[in-house]
Amino acid sequence: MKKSIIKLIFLIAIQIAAYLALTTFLKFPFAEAFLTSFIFVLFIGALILEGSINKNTTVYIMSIFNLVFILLLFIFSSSRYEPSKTFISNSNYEKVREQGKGLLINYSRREKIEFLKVFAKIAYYDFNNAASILKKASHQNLYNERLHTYVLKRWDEYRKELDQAVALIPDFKKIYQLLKKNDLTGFMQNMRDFQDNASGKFFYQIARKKMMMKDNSKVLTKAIFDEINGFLNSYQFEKETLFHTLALFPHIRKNYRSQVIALDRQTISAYDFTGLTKRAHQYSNMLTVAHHPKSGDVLVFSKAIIESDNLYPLFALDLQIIDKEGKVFVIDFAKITPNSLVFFKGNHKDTFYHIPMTGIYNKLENTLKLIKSPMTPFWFTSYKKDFPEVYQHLIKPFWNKLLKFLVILGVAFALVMFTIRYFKTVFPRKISAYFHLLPFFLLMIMSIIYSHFVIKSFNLVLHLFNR
Amino acid sequence: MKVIKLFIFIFIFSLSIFFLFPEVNLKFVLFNMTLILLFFFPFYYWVNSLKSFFITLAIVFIITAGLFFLLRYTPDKTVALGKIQPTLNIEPTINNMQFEWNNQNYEYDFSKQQLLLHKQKKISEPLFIHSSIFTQYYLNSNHFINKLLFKKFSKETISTLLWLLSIILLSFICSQSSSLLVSYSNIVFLVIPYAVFSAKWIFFAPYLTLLKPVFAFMLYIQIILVVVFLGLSFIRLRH
Repeated sequence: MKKSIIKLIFLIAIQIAAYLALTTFLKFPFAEAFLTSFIFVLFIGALILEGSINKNTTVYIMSIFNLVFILLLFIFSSSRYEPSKTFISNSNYEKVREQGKGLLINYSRREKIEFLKVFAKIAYYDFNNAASILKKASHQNLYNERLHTYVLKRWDEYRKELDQAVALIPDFKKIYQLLKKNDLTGFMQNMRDFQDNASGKFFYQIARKKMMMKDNSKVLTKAIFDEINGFLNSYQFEKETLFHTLALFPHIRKNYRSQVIALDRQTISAYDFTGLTKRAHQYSNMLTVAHHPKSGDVLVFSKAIIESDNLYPLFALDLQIIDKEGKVFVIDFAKITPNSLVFFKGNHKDTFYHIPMTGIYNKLENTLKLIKSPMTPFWFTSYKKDFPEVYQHLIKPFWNKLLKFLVILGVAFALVMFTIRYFKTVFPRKISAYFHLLPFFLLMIMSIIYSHFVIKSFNLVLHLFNR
Repeated sequence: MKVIKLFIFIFIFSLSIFFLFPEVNLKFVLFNMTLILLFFFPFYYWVNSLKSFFITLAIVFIITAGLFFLLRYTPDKTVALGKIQPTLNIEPTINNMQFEWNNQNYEYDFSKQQLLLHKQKKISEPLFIHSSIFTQYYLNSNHFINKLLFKKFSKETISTLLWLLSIILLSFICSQSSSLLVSYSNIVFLVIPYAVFSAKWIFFAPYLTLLKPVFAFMLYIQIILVVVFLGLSFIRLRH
C-alpha cells in the first residue's frame, strides 16, 4: 500500500518535471507539453516502475488523475475578468472633446427669451410681431429661417381664414378691428350670431382662447408648447430643428423622448458629450464580434472605449471593423449606442453614417469578460442567445478545442496502452535499475513523437472531414 | 499474435515518424520502413542457439535486402503532410485567447490587454520537431537512396549487403533477452548512430571520392568489421 503511494507521488513528480522541461527548454505550448508529459508518465509507470506486472494499474490511475486535473484546471482557472478601467487619458480627452466641439448649440438667455416670445406671439396669433422679432434676431441661422417660414405659413393660413370670414360674415372687417384692439368681449358679443358658420366659429374660438390665455398662465404655456410642437411636427421632427428647439427649451426634452432616441441611433449630438469629464473612464483594446447588415459577421476592435459619467453613450477611438474577407474599415471616432455605430461622414459634422448592429454596446463591454470565464454554465444558455456571433466565432471554437484536446488525450491513451502491451508481452521481465538511463531517453523521444503524431493525425482527420 | 503486434507497432511507429516530415516520398517511406524493421525486429531476443541465430539472421537479412532491392521499382510519388499544423492551441487559464479571422490568426493577450495579429499561420511557438533537422535528414536520406539505386550487380551491391549484415549483427549484440525496452533503447542510441556513421564514412562514401583505387582495401575493412561483429554475436549467444 505504502509502496504504491510512493510510486504515484514519484510519477506525479516526473510528470511535473517533464512538463516544466518541455515548456522551458523546448518551448512547447501548454497542450502539447501536457500531452507529451502525459504519454511519458504512462510509459514510465508501466514500463519502468511496473516492468513485470501486467495489470498496469498505475497507468489507469495516472490517466484518471490527469483527466480530473485537466477538468478542474479548466473549471477553476476561469476567473472573473474586469477589463482595466482607467481614467481617460489627456490626449484621448482632448480628442473626444474636439469631436464634440462644433456640435454644441448655445443660446444666450436673451436669445432664449426672444424665441420664447416668438412662440408666444404665434400662440397669440400675432404673426406680424413674431416675424419682425425673428427678422431683428441676432441669431440668423437655418433654424431662424425655418421658424420664420413657419410663421409666414401660419400667417398665410390665418389670412385665408380672414378672407373667408370677410366673404361670409357681413361687416366682419369692422368687427375684426375689435379683435385687433384686443376688445375681446366686444368681439365675442358681435360674433355670437355667426358661430354656426365655420369661419365665424374659428374667430370666436380665437377670441375665447386669447381671453383664457390672459387670465390663466397655464393655458398660455400649453398654447406655446402646442405651437412648438406644431412647428417641430411641420418639419417631421428633423434633427437640426429638434436639437435647436431642445437647446432653447431644455425642459421640454422629456416630451420628445421617442424622437430623441430615434435620432440618437443615427446621429451624434452635443447632448452625447454632456457626461464627458476628466473623470470619464477608458477601457483599452476592447473587441467583439457582431453582425453587420451588409458584410455579415465582423470583428469589431477598438483601441480605446470611453465611458462617460452618464454611462451612455460609449465613444470609440480608432475603431476597426474587420470582415470575413479581411477588409479592414477604420473609424477614428464613433459613438456606440445599444444597436448601432454612428460616425461622422467626412470632416463635416452635419452628416452621419450609422451601422445598425444589434447589442453592440453590451457586446463590446462584455465580450472579453465572458471569454475569460469559459466554464460558467451561462455560456450555453444566455450567451448563446444574447451574443450569438461571439458564441459562434470565439466561444464555440474554444469548446471545440477543449473537446478535441480530451479526445486526443483518449487516443494517446489507447496508443500508449497498445505500445505498453507490445513491449510487455514480448518480454515481461522487470529490468534492473542499471539499465534505466537509455530507456528513459527513449521513452521521452517516443512520447514526443507520439504526441506529435496524435495531434497531427487528428487534425488531418478533421481537415479531411471539413472538406 | 506477437507477430501481428509487432507489425502493428512498426506501422504506428513508422507512421508517427513520417508525420514528423513536411513531405515524404514513397522511396523514403519504404527505406525507413526497412530500417525500422531492421532495428526493431524482436526475434533477435528469442535466439538462444546457433541454429536459431543463423535462421533469424537469414530471415532478417533476406527481408531487408529484398526491401532494399524493391526500392528501385518504387515510383517517385510525394505525399505532403506539412499542410496540417500539429497545434491544439488551448490554455485552461486563458492568458491569451486565440482565434482565427479571415484566415489570419489573432490573439488577445489578457495580461497585456492587447490584440495581436499573427501574419503567419502558426499561432503558438513552433515545436522543436519542426526544426530543419528533419528536412536535412529527408534530403540526406534521399541522396543516400539514390546512391543505392544502382542497376547491375557491382561492388556497391556487396558493400550495401555488408552494411546490412553489420547492422543486423550489431542489433543482435545490443539486444538483451530480458527486456524489449532496454534492447530498443540500446538499438536507438547505439545501433542507429553506428548505421548512420558507417553509411557515411565506411561503407559508401569513400568509393565515390577518395578511395576508389584502393577499393579492395576498404572491402577488407568491411569484411573484418562484419567478422568482428559475428564473433561478438557468438559471445552474446554464449551468455
